[in-house]
Amino acid sequence: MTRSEATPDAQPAREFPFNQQRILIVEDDKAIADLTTQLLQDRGLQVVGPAPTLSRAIELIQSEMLDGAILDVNLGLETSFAAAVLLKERGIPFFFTTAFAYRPHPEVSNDTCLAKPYRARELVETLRGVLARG
Amino acid sequence: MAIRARNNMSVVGDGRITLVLANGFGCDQTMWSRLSPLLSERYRIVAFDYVGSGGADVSHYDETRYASLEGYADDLVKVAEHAGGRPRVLVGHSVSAMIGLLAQKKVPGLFDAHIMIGPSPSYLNEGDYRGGFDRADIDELLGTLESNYLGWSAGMAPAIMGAPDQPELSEELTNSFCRTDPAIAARFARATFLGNNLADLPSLQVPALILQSSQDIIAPLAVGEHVSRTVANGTLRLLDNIGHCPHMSVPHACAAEINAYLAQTLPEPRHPT
Amino acid sequence: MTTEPADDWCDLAPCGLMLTDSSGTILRANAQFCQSLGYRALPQPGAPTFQSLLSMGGRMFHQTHWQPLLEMQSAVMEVKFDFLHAEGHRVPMVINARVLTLESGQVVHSIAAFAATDRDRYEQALLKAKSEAESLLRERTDLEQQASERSLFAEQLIGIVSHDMRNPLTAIRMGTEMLVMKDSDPGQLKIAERINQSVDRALALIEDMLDFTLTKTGRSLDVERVAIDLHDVADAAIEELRWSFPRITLTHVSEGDGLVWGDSSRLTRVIGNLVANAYRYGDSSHPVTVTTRVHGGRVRLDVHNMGPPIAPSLIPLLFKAMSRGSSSHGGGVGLGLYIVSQIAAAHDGTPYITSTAEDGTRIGIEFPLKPALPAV
Repeated sequence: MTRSEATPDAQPAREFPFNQQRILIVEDDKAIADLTTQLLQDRGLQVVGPAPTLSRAIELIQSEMLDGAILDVNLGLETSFAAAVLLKERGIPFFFTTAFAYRPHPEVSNDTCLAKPYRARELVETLRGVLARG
Repeated sequence: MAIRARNNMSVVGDGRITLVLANGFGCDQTMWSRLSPLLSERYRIVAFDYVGSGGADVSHYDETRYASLEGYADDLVKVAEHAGGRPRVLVGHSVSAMIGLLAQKKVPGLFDAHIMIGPSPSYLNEGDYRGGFDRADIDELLGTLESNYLGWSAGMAPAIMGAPDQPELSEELTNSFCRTDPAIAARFARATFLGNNLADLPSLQVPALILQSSQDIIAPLAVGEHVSRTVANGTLRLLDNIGHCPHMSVPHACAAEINAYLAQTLPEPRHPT
Repeated sequence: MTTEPADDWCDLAPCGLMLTDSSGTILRANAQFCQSLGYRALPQPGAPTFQSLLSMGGRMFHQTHWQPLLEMQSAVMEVKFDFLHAEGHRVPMVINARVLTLESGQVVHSIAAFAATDRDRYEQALLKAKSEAESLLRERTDLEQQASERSLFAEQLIGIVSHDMRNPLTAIRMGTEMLVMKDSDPGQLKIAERINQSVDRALALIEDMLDFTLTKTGRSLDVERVAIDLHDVADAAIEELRWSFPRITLTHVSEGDGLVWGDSSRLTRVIGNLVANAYRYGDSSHPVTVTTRVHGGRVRLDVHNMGPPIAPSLIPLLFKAMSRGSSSHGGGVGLGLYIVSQIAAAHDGTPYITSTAEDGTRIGIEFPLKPALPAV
């Protein structure tokens, strides 16, 4: 699965409004992290982080109020799956981004996963869909 | 891994003492067929073939292992341990006397005594030590082996011709006796004739009998004398024999010497009355 | 030694004949034996025994093999020894011998010797050839090993590089998109467009390279065939491509019911690669047409462009990776069409191509509507 697919029975993703929701960005590439931060802020969202490491991500999950999260699967030598587990426990919607487009990751198969390289548009729409499903 | 099959072990006879017969460079355990019957009435006789010769399992042959005498010593250790029997004595011909020495170094107490037939710790003349051969001679031998491909190799099948007084010699002999894979033979020869075990001689602490042929170009008298002087407890006995294989050409004399030596060195323990 | 009639006969023999006692002392030797070793007669003071006539190696073999054999078997056949000529050079001879007991009770060895010079030469040549063959084999194995390692390394390198390039390219893409969102200055828009197009091309190339390494390391392309609407997938792909290739007119022709079992992202890639190909090599003054056709349980997806035809000799090479045919008009790495053919294969299908000056070039893939059921 490489592109997000909006589920037909949820609220149509295109209509889900952005209204200062707090979104955690977990990404170790500085350029992408900064651009994503600005992109989401321009769209009327608040950004928590960005967190470049797993430990920072876990810190922020435990200490901040979150409405959603975007997790880069590969953070240097670590993966962000431990953070995903925490988010699931807290019922916080999220999706993965990954450069491993065509390698099956058993842990991501049930979650939305956006393949790099993605368009800014795609990122935004995927986030919208994930938040809409709740 | 079944040592018995791997090294084509055979057991004949019975007795208080177990003799392990180890043949030298040349052929295989068939070399003992003259001496063995003379000994099997008194002793338990265990014979075997090294991997790469005779009826041993050649699939276990490993070039690196058998490039030195250490590999052969490992074989002998396994065979001896598998043979069991105490007291246990090695009868080593030619290079097997040295292989036996190395085996004893690896496992002190492996044998209670060594009987060496035509031993030589080094074949090269070096300084005061006269091994009997110059480097050129050894090189020539090794060259011969390597080039005598169709001469002594597996393709040869010496026929039995006109041997009316030896009908018991069977076809089996012609197939394995003295026939070796030339590459294996060359490697064994290299390990044998380029080996130098002079420094190992003093390490032999158990009693050793050296049976020396009176005329042996491969293990001359001076070498036999040196061995008997240098091991801890050596006894030299001279055999009236021309050649390197007295156990083949004068087996009775060999048996007599062995019996006398063992009676004296490993006597029957006296039971307290 | 008195000459008996028997000796005359022996001296006529064309081989060497010798009689020794059991310790090797020469009793008789015929003329041939003596001549072949350069002696007037044997025995000689310097050559009293059979073994004294041998080379050093021969003498050792005499002790370790010959004597035991004669002892055990009373005969030896076809054994080669190196004898020494009186002048010192080597004379190889093949020997037969047997042990006999004379009427007198004396045990003698009867020996026949045949010159073996030719045989010796033959053996040497054989051995040499064998050893050359062995070393060639070793060399070849080494070379194969090296080639295999090099190729594996190259493939892994491509994989790593492709993967590592995705982050910066994502950043560039996002960045230019965001610039365009904010700024409506037409000049800036144009520049941003150019950047985006190039980034898209780079990204497509990376995708191809990554997939290429996957296929070359033995793994097949991952394909997930689910129920999709092919016409919709094509529409979405074309809409995207219009952004990347604004200077060409992209049209879509659809036939039949769009429901097929396919991998939408892979099929999108097929369209992308084929359109890129059409753009690069076709005449952009004419429209480029994407056709999606579903009919009779078969699916056809192709892209058509006008322009110079592809030479017939290049057509068989077109779908092979990095062959000259696949970068037929020069330039490019030549993976795009290879990937297309791999995706076709992953859908149990095949690629096809027609190319003429009048009708233009049509390249596409054809595959069954549904995946074949696995054999039970």
